Amino acid sequence: MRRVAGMALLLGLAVAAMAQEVPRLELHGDRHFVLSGLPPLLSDETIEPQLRTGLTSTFVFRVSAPGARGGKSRGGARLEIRYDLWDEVFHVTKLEITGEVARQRLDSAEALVEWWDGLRLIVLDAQTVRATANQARVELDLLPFSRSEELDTQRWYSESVGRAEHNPDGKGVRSPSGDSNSMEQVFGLLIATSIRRRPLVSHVWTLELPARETSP
Amino acid sequence: MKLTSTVVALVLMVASAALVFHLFQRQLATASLAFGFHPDVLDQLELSLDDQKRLAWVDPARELEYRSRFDSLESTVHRLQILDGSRDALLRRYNTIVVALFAGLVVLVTLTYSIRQASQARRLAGIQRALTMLAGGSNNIELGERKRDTIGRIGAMIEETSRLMARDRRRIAAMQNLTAWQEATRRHAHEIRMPLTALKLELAQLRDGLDAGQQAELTRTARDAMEEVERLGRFAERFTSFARLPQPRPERRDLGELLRDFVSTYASAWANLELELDAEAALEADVDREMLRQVLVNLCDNSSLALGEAQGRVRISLQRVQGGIQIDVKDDGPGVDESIRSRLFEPYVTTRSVGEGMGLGLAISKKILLDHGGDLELLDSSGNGAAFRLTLP
Repeated sequence: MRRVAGMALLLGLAVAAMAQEVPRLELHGDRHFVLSGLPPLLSDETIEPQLRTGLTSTFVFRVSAPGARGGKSRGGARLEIRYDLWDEVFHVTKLEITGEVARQRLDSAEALVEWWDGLRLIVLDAQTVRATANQARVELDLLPFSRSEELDTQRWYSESVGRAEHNPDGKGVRSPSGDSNSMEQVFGLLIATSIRRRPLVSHVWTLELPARETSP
Repeated sequence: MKLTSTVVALVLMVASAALVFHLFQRQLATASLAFGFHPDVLDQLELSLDDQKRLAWVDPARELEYRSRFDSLESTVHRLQILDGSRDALLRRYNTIVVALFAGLVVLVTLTYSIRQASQARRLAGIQRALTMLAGGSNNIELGERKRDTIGRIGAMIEETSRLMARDRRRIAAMQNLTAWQEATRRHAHEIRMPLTALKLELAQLRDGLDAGQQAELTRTARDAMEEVERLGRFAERFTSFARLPQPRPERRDLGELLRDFVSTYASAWANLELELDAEAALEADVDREMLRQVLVNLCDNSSLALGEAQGRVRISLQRVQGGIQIDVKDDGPGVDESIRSRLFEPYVTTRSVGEGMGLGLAISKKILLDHGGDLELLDSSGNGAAFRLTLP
């Protein structure tokens, strides 16, 4: 009993510590803001098993700050992580606001964590941000699967509804009377469209913007 | 009808509920199959994935085959994982569709029921109108009911009844016409035969007188013969007056003054009648004075003849009403016989014996009032006397 209470306390402390960790924004050559120092999210109890599913987990970063011409200046970045179940390696893709795409193959979870810890993401064009702005809002969503996986599952589901209805062994023999089949396929399609990517985990941070030299 | 509608509505409701249940049951079963909710399914599939990898390690020559199976299994696992992660959304969507389907069916049933009820109400209103028309004496009513349900059968019966009534009316009218002609012929024959008989006798006497040389007797007989000829002439005059009734020439006249003149002029025209007048002052109308006087004379003639030897009174009243003027002529005689009330204004209709009148007076009077744009009606024909109403625009 005492041991369980102790573990719960440690876990609570770890979560609290993680919650206090926030990334930071830095200037990158006076032209871009770079997001770095990401919290150790990969070891999160929700995220860690998700990364092992083999589905494409996508970290979507959205950054907004007061714009130089009024309104808001928006930016962001995207990270895709897919675990290859056959080769047991991680394939990661990094897409930054500059349009640059970087792909890497990481051989282990440790390498993945190391890659994550060292990440520097160009997320915002500094020229579009108001010079006096000192804060930016950063939102992070983890989408559990990719768009193509979503479409594939939707199609598979709507097809399997009709197939299972007329041929429970799943061999896909169509019924001569198509009316009922069509109706069920429509029904299946309507249900299938509810399969959508919804964020598994979301974080919102308000970060300090580094001071910039104002042009004369 | 109400029972039928209720039964139809109930059948539709039960069918709808059955359909929804059927869909629910089948789709739930399908959904459960496709979801693979049970964790063992995923566990077994993941074990199979590991097996393919091990097999490829043990038998590298068939690695491609195992890799292919692995990829296929992996796809299935991924799909099931995605479905499992979307389970709540899928069930919400499923419930929404089922509820919407059920609501749609209920709306459809309600709409169908309402339309049916409205249709029946409309058809019943048509039946009601047709019955009113039938009661009003309309012929050949066409409802246009094509359905063979209860309302349709009632409609068909009303149409058939109206056709039969029309046929019977035509028969009755033909028979009445025939009867009228028979009566007219009888009266004409009598009116002609009487003076002819008298003429025949007078001529025989004239022949006998010629033989005897009785001058005085000859003169008297010739005078009598002339009277009979004049009687024939008067008959012919009366007979043709109906056929050649002229159109009225109306002039603006004060009806009160016209009636006062009539009462004053004809005060002693009928020995057994006393005329009274109750007239408002200055009520003007466009009338043909002579024709209106003829109508009043006809009515008074009838009253006098109906009283016979008894003394009576004719009361004439004048009043303005909405849309025109009314002149009521009421006597205190025996009234109009029940048997001829409905045909009173037809020519040759009279209760008098043959030789006492042609039965044309009221027909002529009615025609005169109709030509004025008004009417002549029998108001009260009870034992307290007869009352006629002259209406003028």
